Amino acid sequence: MTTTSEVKRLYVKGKKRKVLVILSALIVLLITIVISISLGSGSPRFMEAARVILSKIFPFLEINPGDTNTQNIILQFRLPRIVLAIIAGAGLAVSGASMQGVLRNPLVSPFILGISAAAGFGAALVIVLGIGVFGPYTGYIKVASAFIFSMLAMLMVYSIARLRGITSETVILAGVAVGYLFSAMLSIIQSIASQYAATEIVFWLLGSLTKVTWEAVLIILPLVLVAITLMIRHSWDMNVMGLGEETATSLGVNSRRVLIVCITLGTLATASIISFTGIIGFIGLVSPHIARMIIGSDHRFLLPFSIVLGAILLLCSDTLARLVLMHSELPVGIVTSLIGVPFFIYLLLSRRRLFWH
Amino acid sequence: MKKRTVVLSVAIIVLVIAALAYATLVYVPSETAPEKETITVVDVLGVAVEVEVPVERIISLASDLSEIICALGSEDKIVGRDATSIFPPSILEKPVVGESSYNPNLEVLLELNPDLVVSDSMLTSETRQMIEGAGVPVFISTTGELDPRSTVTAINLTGQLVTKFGLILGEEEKANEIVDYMESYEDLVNERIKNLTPSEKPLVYYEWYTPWYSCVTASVTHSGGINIAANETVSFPTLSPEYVVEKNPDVIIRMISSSDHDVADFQTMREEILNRPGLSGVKAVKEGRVYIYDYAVRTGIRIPAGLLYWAKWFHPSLFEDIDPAAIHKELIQRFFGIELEGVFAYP
Repeated sequence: MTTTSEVKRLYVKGKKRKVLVILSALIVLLITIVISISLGSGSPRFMEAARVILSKIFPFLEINPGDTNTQNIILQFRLPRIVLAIIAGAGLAVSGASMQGVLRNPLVSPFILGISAAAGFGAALVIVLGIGVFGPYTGYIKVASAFIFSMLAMLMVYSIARLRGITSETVILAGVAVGYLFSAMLSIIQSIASQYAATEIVFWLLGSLTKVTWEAVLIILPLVLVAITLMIRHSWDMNVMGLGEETATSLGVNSRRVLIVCITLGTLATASIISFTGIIGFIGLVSPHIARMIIGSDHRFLLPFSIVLGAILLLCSDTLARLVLMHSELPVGIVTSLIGVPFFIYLLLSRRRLFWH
Repeated sequence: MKKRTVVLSVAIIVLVIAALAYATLVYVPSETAPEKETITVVDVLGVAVEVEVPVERIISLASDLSEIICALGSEDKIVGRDATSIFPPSILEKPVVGESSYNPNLEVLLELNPDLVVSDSMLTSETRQMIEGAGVPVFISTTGELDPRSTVTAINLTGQLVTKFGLILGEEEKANEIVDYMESYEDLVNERIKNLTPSEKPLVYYEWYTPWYSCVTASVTHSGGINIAANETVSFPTLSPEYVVEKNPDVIIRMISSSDHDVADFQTMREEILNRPGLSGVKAVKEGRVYIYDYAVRTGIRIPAGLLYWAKWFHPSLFEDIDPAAIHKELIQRFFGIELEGVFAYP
């Protein structure tokens, strides 16, 4: 027979194990970063990269950073991509984990409010009208347009859901409907676009980190950080909401408020990421599941672990996307699915317990 | 409830009948015209197309093919076009049968009663079958990069096509004149670059219509440059930015794709490349050898202009006496009889 103290001991032991798992994942992330900065189709390897970075951090050491091209390869291409892959992976994963939590549905991804189609529509609109209409700022306008239409989709979903009361079902169904609306409008644009614009739209929809710059990092980072912080603060509420709305209410959790806060934050973070990178969908759906299989459903651990896993998954995928074709690149969305799916299926088959509540 | 069901059923029946009627119209072959000479021309997909010549009513679904037909003096035979066919300007009066060859409106197209439909390879095989099913032959061709790995020069490819159109339209003499004209410039370029050693040829990064998107195209070689993407496994690769920087190209050329643009758009595009993060140490950027061109100069019978622009950008001293813009103007004047307007390359 287990006594109360025995239960407590088991709980503390489990808690320690979970912290250990998260710490190990962080170490894996660090190793991935080192590998990623050392590899690429350009010649700089670990030593060259280290020299460039150290010379920037400690200018007084007078380390020779190498020629301009070497410095640019590390500082303008590899480094911003690595940083963005980590932020984007983390942001998408935490959004997915908390949305799945508050909506109590395993099929939910950060795109549940239809924002992937809306962002795609916004970007496609600018791609089609192009430089002839928007001039020198076309690139920025494309990002802004993708973001604005994502927000519009979110507002539409809320307005529709509010008419019937904001619950998990109304939000999910309204999201699906709005998503279909925007993908229909996206299809209209694609079918009337010129050959070039149409190809560019397809590339955008596949998602890629090839064109990221430090500017993108600076804009996305604060949004993702805010989302992560606030979501983690709500992780206990998410645990309670998993017990059902009535139980949650009786325990003093305002389910509706938590639901709105988490979905809004997740959508904001996701929209800011995909406005720059295009649709990178799989991470947000699957990182939380992988995390749940390894660490369980306690959101206080699930959210941080999803964040680290999402970062690792996207960084690995992007590094592979840079490497597999030698001098050319693959859209990262393809690689993400190609390496994420087998891993996911393996976990699904190898674990015996039921993962979803 | 009952009334609604009836209305719904009627609506469905009407729809089905309309669809059937449409299908019948499209599929029933029209009556063939009396005795005419039939020739066989092989199109770019290798299909032997039987055409009764001379063709009197032609629909063109590609801008470069429309230009060739007009240059052969047969603009009056064009009875329909796609929306991308906008040159020469007089062609704008012809009815439009679709945005592009991808999805033309078959009802409008067949109503124009064409003898022949010419199109680029975006026309789907289903659409082709439907048009052919209605008894109208379809000839598919392109002067652009159908197979970017082909070593046949763009001028050679276009020359063959012009010759075929000469046969179809009964304008062989005019066709020969155009082919000779184009080949004279190809010979001129070949003559001047033939003795260059590889070290004298510039490394060229050819950017298509979006950043880092390139092509293995041999056209760079034909103008005396070395394409840094030439050996890629993917025909249209998204190059790794660090590979481009590592290669340190001497020249960067970039296509402008939007059809509606002025010189400011060329400048914008060039500025973007000159200031793109990471490119600051690249030779082409440091020396300002970044050039923007309009895709039009690389298609149809204007290809000599594109060839010369590139050759001059790659080897300014060898082509000092050549003014590609003037030759482009001359070409348009000679074969279309109109004054060329607009910017096609910058700077």
